[in-house]
Amino acid sequence: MRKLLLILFLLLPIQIMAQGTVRLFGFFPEFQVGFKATEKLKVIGKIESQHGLAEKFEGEDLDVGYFHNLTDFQGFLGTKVNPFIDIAGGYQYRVNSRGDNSHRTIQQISILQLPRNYKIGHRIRFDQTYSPFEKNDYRVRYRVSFEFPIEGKSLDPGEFYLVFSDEILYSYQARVSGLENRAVASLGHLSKGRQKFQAGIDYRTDRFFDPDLRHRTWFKFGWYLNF
Amino acid sequence: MVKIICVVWLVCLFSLVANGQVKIEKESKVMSSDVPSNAVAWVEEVFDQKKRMNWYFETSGESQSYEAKFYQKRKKYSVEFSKDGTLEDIEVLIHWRRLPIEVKQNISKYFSEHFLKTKIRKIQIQYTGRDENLKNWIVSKKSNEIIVKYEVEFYGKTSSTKKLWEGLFDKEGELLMKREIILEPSNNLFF
Repeated sequence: MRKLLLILFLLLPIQIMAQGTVRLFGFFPEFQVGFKATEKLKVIGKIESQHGLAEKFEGEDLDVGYFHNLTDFQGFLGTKVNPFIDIAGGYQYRVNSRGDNSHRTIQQISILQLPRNYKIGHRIRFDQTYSPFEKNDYRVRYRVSFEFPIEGKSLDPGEFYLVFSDEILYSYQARVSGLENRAVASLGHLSKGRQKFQAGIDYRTDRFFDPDLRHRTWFKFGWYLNF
Repeated sequence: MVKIICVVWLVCLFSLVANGQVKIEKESKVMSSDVPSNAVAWVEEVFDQKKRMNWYFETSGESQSYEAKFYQKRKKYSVEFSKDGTLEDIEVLIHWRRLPIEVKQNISKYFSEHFLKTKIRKIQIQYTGRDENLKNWIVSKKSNEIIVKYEVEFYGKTSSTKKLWEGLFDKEGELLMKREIILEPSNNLFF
């Protein structure tokens, strides 16, 4: 089962590229740390970084080569409304390979559902991006995630799990609207030290309103710590 | 600049990992061939069910047990055995409206006295007693020698807290004990 999933994850981007629809492929590591600062206040810190390995434009050959795309540094403060609803606010500093670094403010509400032995997470997020090189960018995002234990009736330390998520983003910048979709499928492992490791595919499509629809496929792996 | 921030982050991460200590609870699915034969035989004989039965091995601190989970006559059963196959208890999932009126009244009274708002998530009737008595109860539904308790998982709001609880109530619906349910963080889904 595990080998089958691993093969699936590894082959998926190759298959998409073979169909000629992929414009960008790379890897996307992320680290996340969460801890309780007080009884009611939670602190989250996160670094994520996109590294391109291949790029293809319409009618051109595949351009293979490494490049750093961007790195985000994020910090959040959050609190629980009740055991199932959290609200959080955060800030992001983006280091962009083009040099146009940006600042972002983020507000979000997240809702957890526990239907049976799996989790459903809903996240509604608003963010505002400020850059000296571009007009302010305002976005509204909704993400639904499913986390399924593989090895038992609940996810316990030492076990594997699957995560599927899809996010729709609406952006508004300089009186122009944009849409983006992000679908993620990952295999995860909850370690005995309350750490989660995930590896999977993050497939993003955007520029729906532009003539050049863009597809980006990232091999994403994450390390999530909670204290 | 990026390198410096990354190094600071990694140092913070490793120092936090080194300090993390948690109680480990684990349950994993097992084959019936891995379960003590007396436990498997007891369930198969008493419930007359061999198919669609899942077995789990559970560890919680020092305690270890085996649990059979299955549906029968539209009811969900959990039958728990000790590591050597001795029957510990039988739990049956039940809806609030099917509880005895007196039990409902007493649990409701407890809720209204201690919480501003409650919402029940799950109720299980817990049966304990000697093997023979439990066997008789399952077969004939008649036995005065089994102990009935109600395990209620509920959300409770007070003026200062909003928490999830697991309450154990006796056969009249009087609270015996309660403990807070701590949900595992889901930061990987939300950030």
